[in-house]
Amino acid sequence: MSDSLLDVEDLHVTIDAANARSSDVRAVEGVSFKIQRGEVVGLVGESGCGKTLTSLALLGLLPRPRGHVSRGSIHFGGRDLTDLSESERRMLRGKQMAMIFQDPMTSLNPYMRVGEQLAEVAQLHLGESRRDALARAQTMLERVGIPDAGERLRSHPHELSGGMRQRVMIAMALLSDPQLLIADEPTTALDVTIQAQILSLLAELRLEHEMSILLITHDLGVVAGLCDRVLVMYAGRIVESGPTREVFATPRHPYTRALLRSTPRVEAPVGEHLESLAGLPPRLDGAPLPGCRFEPRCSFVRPGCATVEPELSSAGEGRMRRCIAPVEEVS
Amino acid sequence: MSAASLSAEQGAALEGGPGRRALRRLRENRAAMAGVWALLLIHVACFVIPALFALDAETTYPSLHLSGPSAEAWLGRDALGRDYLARVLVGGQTSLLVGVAATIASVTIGVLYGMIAGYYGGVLDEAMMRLVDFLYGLPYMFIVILIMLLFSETARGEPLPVFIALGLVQWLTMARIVRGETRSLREREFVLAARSIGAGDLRILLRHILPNLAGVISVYETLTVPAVIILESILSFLGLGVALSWGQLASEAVDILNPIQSYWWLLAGPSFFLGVTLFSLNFFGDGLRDAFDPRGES
Repeated sequence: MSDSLLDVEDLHVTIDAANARSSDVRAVEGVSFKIQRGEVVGLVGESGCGKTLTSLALLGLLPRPRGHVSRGSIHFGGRDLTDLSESERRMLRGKQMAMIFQDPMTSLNPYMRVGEQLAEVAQLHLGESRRDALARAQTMLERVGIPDAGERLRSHPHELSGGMRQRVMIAMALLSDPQLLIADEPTTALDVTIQAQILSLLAELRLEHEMSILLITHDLGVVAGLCDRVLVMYAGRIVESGPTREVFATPRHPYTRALLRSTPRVEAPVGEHLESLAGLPPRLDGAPLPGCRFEPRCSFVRPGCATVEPELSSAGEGRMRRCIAPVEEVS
Repeated sequence: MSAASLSAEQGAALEGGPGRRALRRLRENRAAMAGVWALLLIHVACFVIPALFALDAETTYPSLHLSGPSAEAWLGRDALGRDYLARVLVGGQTSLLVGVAATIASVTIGVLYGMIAGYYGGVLDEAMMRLVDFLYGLPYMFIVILIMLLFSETARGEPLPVFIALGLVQWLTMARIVRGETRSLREREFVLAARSIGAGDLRILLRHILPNLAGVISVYETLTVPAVIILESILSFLGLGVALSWGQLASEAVDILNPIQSYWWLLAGPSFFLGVTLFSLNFFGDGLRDAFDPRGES
């Protein structure tokens, strides 16, 4: 607790029903994790498993008016964020915690010059004049590897390539030197060579700024390259967590195992069958399922899996899993 | 320049912000530019020429009443022998002013109202838009006449009540358009990004959403101006408008019109100016819409 920058405990996020015929969606249920100072933690899982909503809950940016944190606490730098007022949280956003988004094509305002958008952060949080803010923006653009930074300040977003725009987003997030950077699929919309550049940039900046990163992705390769620890989410819950290397070498939850096996490998022989995980994740609205959420798609089902949901319990040094099948069998 | 490797045309299309590109596309649209020039000419004619040539719209020459176009009075004279061209030009001042002022009033109300309803959504949005639906349901002429009657006898014929009455009925459509557009902009990622750097609602609305609305607003505004000018003419025609405007002149002309003597210049003068203004505004509005349409980008 003492050294954690972020301590999320029993987080529940609910999206209220849109109308009388639909029911509330329990998008995130009982998620707990910690991030130490300077640590990079990966949050993986398939689309719709609650990764993005978890990160938006950290920032206090759940879609209004229907999304809200229904239970749990988020301690950040010793303060419980769920107790803060909206204006206090606004002062934290962009200053102590910042976020970069999946699609750099849409996350910059098409009508504003790049420099104006960058300067906005410094003006909001550092109380700088427009001129100082622009100078700071230029330095930061140079730092993230944008050539002709001075020229680029006057560009509109549509004049930049996807990779350049993502660099601009990173520069914007780092401008006020945040302690926690939340990166929501920062490389998904970019092509592979640019992905590698952006990831190595993040790795460099993390050391330089002694910053913690929560990296949200469904790309296990990205996790392997950058993260110290990994959290695997399925249907709104964490099903496994642990040091990246160990989780990848010996997965202890059938879902992690299935994810790893369905990742294509360059060294695999041509024509080899790539495993895929049959079925779809359960719906998260309506009555809660009694048993394990992964049970319908699991190949290690035990008696009781369909009726009692396993607890998240210790599975070796620094590792946790939510499964009752024997460890040796799953790994 | 960065455009060196591209053809001149491509380079030009990529330079500048979305606003500047729209302006360039507008310049390439002949019908729209013809509209702009015609509007400029009409404004000069109405606001500069009467002062420059000391045209007299008020002095009566009873002996010359209803005389046709001549060298001294190019558009003939009205029933009291006043110079009809001078009256049409001076009357144009009111028509154009009413058009612009009432449009600004309606646009301001409509944009603010629509942005607030669309951005906050939920119950507030429901309540605000139901009020708009209710006002839509009332016959607008009825509202305008009611508002006009609220002003005392002395104020009638002054332009201000007309601005207010017209502005109050014209903002509804603008509010609807802006509300819909804001709702979709609100969900865009750059708004979330702005919130993630700690921008407040006011800043997001004014700095991030409003510029993105500029296209729709300016296009709809050019469509509102003619609507307001016509509405003012109808009011004048019914005897509720401003003392001297194109609608008022046309109304008087129709009174004098008879099967034996047509006095065609009395109707032709204001109608010609009104028609040209409305056509020009429509062409200009169409051009603006095309210019802001992202699909127009090659």
